Amino acid sequence: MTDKFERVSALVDNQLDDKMIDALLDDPELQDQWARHHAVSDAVRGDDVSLLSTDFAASVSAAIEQEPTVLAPKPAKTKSTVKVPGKVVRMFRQVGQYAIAATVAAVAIVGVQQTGQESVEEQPLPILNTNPVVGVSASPVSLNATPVNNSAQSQADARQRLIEQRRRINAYFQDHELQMRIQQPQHTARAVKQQDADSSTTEQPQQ
Amino acid sequence: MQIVQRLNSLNNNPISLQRLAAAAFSFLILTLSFATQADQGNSASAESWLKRMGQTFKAANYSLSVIRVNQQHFEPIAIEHGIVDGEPLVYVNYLNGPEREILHRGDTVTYFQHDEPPYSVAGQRAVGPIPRAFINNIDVLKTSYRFVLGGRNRVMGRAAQLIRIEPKEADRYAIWVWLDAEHGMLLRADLVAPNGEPLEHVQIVSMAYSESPSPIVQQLSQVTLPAPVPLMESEQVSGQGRVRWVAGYVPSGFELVGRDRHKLGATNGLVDYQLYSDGISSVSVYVGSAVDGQPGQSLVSKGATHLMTVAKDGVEVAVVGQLPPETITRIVESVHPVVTKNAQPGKAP
Repeated sequence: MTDKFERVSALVDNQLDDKMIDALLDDPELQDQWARHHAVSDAVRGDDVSLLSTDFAASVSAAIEQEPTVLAPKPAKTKSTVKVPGKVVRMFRQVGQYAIAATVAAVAIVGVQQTGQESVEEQPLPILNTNPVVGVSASPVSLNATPVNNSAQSQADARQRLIEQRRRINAYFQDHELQMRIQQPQHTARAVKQQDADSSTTEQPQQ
Repeated sequence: MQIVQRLNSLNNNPISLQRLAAAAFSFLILTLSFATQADQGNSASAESWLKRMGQTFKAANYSLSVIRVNQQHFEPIAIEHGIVDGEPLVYVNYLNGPEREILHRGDTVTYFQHDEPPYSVAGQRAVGPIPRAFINNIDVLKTSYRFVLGGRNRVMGRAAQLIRIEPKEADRYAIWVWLDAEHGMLLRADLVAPNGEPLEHVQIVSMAYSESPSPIVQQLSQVTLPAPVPLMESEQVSGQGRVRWVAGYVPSGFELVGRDRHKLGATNGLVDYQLYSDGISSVSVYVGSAVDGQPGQSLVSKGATHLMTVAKDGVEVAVVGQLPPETITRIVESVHPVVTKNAQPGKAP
């Protein structure tokens, strides 16, 4: 026996001939020996060695096949996609793919580009009913980005700034609605301007 | 000529003369109608459809249930219209969320909201989800829009004619309206982006016409309303002793509707304000001092309405409107200061 194994090690060292190779191919014991030799020499050299034998791999795959399949629910990409009929939701869904937190995606605003700082929004602040719009030079609030300055104070500042920004944005929308109601309509305004001879404006409406 | 000869020969026979005249007349009408159909894009008939739609809004007493849908939310609205003592009355009630009602009676519009006392303003304005131009005068749209006759669809269980109100330039949104084929009233309206994507829908989901005004309308015609708030003459308010801000570019057909200086919301500072409209879309331009002095810009959307703010040099310019983002960007970038005659040179507010 030892004689046989000695010949394997000799073969590893490239010292024997074709007959030995044929013998190796036929004898499983010799094949194991061959594998162990090479594993050892790899380990000695410092290469990565897989210590799992082929038997182990075979037994694992057999065990897997025997397991019953579990129908795991797909993780929801984002829960914030609003169901709206028609194609109007398409834009929002594209952005939603990059959201991590489901609650954040609905309130994410395309961030104000502050010099050197991007804040990570993680609290569900009051919803502004706004939507990020693609195709803008300002970068979207990226939830993967780590803030440049990690101190708690600057994060709180950034968060406060974001709250302020949102409040201001809301104010703009509401004021726009209000002004559409209370500003003088065209025909009345035109009449006023016709009466007002002294005007310093440079952008008179066409009459 | 043949007709003239035949007429001459039938001098003594008045009955067949009439018949001949009728035939000639109908032949003339037929020729004219063929000529009309040969119009490019059938714009004349599209316009007549729209005018008829305007008529259906003003005549009669009706109750409508309307749904307005955009990306953000879904808004059911109830509209009551009636004519009491010759005076039209329109009542608009937003059914979801905090109470919001609008009453348009004669020449006054009164707004009721849950969080403030009701107030009135004088004049004719857009009331509810239907653009004022549809009801009053479709001609204001002719400068910037084309009317295109579309195909027939089924809307609300009825045959409907599609009319597309397309802008002449792609710098604003189009409106596609579906009108009842038989009576001509509005069944559905979509606000459509230049690429054909619908952004907002307004659909009438039920309507009821009646001979006499509904009880709600009759009740509302008796209600005492607050007196109209006197609106400041905007020319007097703005530009006094300060730098005036001007939007160098507005899309063609947009006219300045109003301009003043007021406080933005309850807690924010003063802003210079201008409102432009082309009959369908309105756009507001705000100029105020930047909140924290940091430069930046942002674009936020609420359905078809976009808000762009740019902060630079301590000044924040914001433009809000129902226009494509590219147009809003152009307007924002064109806003610049102008020193008025009466003003002392100085920095913006």
